[in-house]
Amino acid sequence: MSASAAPGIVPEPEDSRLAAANLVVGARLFASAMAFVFMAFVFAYFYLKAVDSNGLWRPSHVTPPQGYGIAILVCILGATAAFELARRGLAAGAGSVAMLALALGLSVAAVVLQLIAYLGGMSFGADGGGYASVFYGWTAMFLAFWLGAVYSVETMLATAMRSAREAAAADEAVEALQPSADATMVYLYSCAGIAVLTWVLLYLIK
Amino acid sequence: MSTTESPPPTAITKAPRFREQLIGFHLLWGVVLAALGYFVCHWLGTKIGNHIKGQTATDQDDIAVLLGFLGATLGWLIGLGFFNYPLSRMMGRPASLIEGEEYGVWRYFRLCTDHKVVAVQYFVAVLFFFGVGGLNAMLIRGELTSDNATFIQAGNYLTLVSLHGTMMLMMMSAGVLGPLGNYLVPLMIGARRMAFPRVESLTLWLTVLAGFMLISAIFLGGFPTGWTGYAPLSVEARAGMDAYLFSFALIGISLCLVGLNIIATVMTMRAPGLYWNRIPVFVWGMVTTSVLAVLAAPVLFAALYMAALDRTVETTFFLASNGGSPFLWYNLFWFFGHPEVYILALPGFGIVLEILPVFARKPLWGYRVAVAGMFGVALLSFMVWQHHLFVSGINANLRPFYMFTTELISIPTGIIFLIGMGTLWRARIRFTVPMLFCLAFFFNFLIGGLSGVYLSDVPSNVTTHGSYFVMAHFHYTIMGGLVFATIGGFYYWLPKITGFKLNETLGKIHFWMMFIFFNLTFFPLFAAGLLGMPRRVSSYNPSLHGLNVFVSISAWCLGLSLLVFLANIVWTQLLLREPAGPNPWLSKSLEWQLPSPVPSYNFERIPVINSAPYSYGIPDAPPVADFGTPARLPGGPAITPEGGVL
Repeated sequence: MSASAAPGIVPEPEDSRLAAANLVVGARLFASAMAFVFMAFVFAYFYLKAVDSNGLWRPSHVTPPQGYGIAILVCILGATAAFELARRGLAAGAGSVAMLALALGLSVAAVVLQLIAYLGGMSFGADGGGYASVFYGWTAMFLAFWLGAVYSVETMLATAMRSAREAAAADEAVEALQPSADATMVYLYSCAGIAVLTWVLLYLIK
Repeated sequence: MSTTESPPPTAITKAPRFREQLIGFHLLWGVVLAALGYFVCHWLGTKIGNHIKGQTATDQDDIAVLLGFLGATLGWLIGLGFFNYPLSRMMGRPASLIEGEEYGVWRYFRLCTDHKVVAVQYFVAVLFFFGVGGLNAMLIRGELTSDNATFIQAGNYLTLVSLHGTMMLMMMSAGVLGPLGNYLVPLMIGARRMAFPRVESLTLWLTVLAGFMLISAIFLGGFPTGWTGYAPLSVEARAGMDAYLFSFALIGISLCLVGLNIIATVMTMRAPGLYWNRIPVFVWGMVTTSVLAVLAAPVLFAALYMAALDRTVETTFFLASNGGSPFLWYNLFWFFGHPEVYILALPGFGIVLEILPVFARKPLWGYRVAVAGMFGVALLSFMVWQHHLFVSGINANLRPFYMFTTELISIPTGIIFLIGMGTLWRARIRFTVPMLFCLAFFFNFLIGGLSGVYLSDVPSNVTTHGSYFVMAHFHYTIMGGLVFATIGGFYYWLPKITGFKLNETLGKIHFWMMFIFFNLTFFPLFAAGLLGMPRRVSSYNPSLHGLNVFVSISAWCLGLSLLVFLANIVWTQLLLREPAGPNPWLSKSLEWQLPSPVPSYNFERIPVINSAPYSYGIPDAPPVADFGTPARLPGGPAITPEGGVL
């Protein structure tokens, strides 16, 4: 329970930089938690591969769709790079809308490609053994986390467009965007790292 | 996120009328949309399930049930208003920290960003679910008054035990971090809020939903796996298992986010002068617990997700017949499950070490060692999980290592115990109700800890595994430890939270009843375990009948003692309402220097901290904080905790 404010008392306003610091720390912690989610999948991958129950870790017909795998990875890395350029442009006081739009386009493309792969590009089902289980579970989980990245990038783009229209000065637009940009960057880098790991373990290693 | 335009959370305007309040985002709409979401998504899931019929392992419509739960969760969150802010941000609207108007009784039934309100919401919710878990325990003890199944069939008994275990573990995880962590951490570090107020509220409402979803398992056929959800039984179980998987996953998410929020708050929002070596030990307890929650809960979430996939789209993570392995579940679950034990224990350490100096009127002995001990426990807790697999096919060569790490963890735990004893040494102790609970914590936890050393040893572990010895051990550590500490904490901090005193006499009756009957309930179970009484089975050797009747009577008296606690709360907080004053315990901690209850803005000015709050009995000790100096000059630079300029 909390009491009402005493009449006449106006607390000091909060420093705006506090919220920015919170966002970056929060993003780092969230990335740590996300890393542990995928650590469980990495463990499952190596554990089931080592156990190879009934010789069904990876039957010969189970091959991942290499083309989709590379295309999805390229989209994710491209989106991350575009966002980094947008963030640097923002810090330098330059416009960031075009790069943010590119980042959003690429991040959405990664989602669409993954969905297309699920619907028609797979040569095996989820019941195709240990590897198939890990493949479907891992990629679907990554897709869910990547949707979070899509949301973040879209929010940044929308804020940038609104700021460009409404902000009285360029400084104001930067102030509105920079804290979220730093936090989103942390998240995107984490996702990109996991995407590379995904590709190496699920697509590259036989 | 920019918050420069956000007004300080003080604005009090005219409260809207009842009819106006009905239209909006709150609990009522949350319930309505959750029900709607469940039925719509269940219907959708049935359609999808029919489309891929024959693929599920359990002959249950698990896709429908799990999609129904997902729909219920979305509806619940939409109804409570959790999607409003993200959607407004998607449209480019500016960030803000405050969610609507926050006053009056309505704020307790909606998304509220005042950490004190969220803490009270948590308190009520946790108390309710504890009641449910406790009633399960009473029924279990009722059944065990006979050596054969009587009024509860064997399958239902297993569901009852599973529900009791899962509910208690889930709610104990939320039980300290939620109410006490959310309420006290900002106050103790001189902050006005948690780092992420909406996330704080989200964790609460997810916990509430998870509790009800778990209860719904009864109506879906129950689940036979106990709280550990072991595969392959979990893959083959009826639809009640889906309720277990989904609700536990929600708790995992909630736990992770609570931890994230607390760590971020302590890292970034400490008042100037609050160096790391001045942080109250309770806050350290919360931080170490949060580290475990952030790192361990995601693994649980991933494991539950894999189990859900096994039950729906027929992946085979945990089915050896098709390339999986049930041992994968054991490893993933216990990677979370053992840190979970310390998620429960560390807040208890924090609470008792915070309270002891107040009633011993002595500084906390070995503050830095205590903090190091907490981190030692947290670190080691990730290295012991395989001792749960000693009899489940672990490589024999690994057993000594995990035996060693498990025994090693008793060293930092023992250090924390010694810190408590050192603080009490030659102290003039005030035997208040909170202090009595803290002392009982040490007594009970000692028994729990010592019996744990036996269980870490491979030969005795193999002998007692699956028996009531194990059951008595973890009840001594979790109930005898954390629950006693938490209740002590509530007696200590409730006057601050509500502004009203609790009755000391009723409190002492509650304490002595609880302490005596707790020990009479659980100590004999060590003997029952050593005599071969197995867990999770309602039938046992008739020679143990007398012992079980004695334990059951003690358990009911233990339950009665908690009713005394409840009566104390209702009588003093709702009926009598005798003001407690700002600092009835003469504590030096920051939260006790504020009015009771604490104003909505916490601190008019962010205080400057001068010392750690444990300088009891030290003549000429400086005041803990300076509340008069503006630490953040309006329009000027803010001062960092290290005293520099941000």
